[in-house]
Amino acid sequence: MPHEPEPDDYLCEQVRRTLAHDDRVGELDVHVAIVAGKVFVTGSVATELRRDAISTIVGEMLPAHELHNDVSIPLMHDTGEIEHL
Amino acid sequence: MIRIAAIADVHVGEDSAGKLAPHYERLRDEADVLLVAGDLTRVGTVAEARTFVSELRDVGVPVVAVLGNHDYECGNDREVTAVLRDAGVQVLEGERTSVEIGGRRLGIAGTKGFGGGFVGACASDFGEPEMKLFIRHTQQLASRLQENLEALDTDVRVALLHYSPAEGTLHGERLEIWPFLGSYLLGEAVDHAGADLVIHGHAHGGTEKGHTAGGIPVRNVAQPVVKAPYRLFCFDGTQTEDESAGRPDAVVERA
Ligand SMILES: [Fe+2]
Ligand SMILES: [Fe+2]
Repeated sequence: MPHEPEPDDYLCEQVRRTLAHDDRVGELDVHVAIVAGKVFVTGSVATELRRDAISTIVGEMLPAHELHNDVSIPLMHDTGEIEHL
Repeated sequence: MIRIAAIADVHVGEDSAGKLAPHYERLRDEADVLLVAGDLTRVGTVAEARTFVSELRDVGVPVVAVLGNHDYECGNDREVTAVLRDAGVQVLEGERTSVEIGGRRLGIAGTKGFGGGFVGACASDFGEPEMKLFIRHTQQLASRLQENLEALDTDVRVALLHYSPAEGTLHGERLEIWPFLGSYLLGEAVDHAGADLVIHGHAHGGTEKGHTAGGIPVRNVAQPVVKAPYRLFCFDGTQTEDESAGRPDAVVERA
């Protein structure tokens, strides 16, 4: 007998795998956690479009969970000090 | 003086067009060469490779790169490499090159590298064929890296990798995934051959500075780590015999 509902741990990895292989995302540095019925997505992707696509995809996969898309886009500060070696 | 700019993990997609180029405008004033340590593209399509070279069009210095795992995702790594080479980017995989800078020579030995883990917690060339394939890939890339570093007779030698050769730059990443982020075999190869610097990426959640077991500086320049368009490294002047003898790579036993 399959376990119903699907345990949260497996749901998280199913979402992560989908995001890695979806044409709109294709990123691995994305972490998915389900806590108290909410889904939290963290990590970083290179562009805003990819971050927005994560909201769309996770929303479709887990419509009953409140989504927190906390994925960041890497900041672009100055190049910083030159390191002398 | 040899000035190196280095970056990794820009993960360029078609949605990145126009986003990076403005950050490279000053690069030619700050550096003599740009090293790119893999994951140039999001999933390694030809269109993404074209977008990447288009972002680099005004860099104005030689560009030397290795591919990363993301550049292999679509199975088009040969086509991606061809697009990069057509645009003048030197792509190294088990190869070496040298760049003449103000009368001094910078040598670069490059490979993507691969995983396997670190001393005391690493995969072994044992058991199922799949396991052997995994670790033998790393072994092969590491031994080519060592040969290429040894063959460089340049003033400065840099190892350019995607995967990490040392644990120091992985702090911040979950310990469980370290075997997929790098291998001590790469560090061992660098220490046996000697080098002045190792540049890598791949560990987006890692830290910037580490060193090999033999004391050679290792720098993780993954864009999410450095949070900058690139990092700058400078080798000043010509070293005297005495200075050279004190270098970490000079005290490491050769293979
Ligand atoms: Fe990456
Ligand atoms: Fe990578």
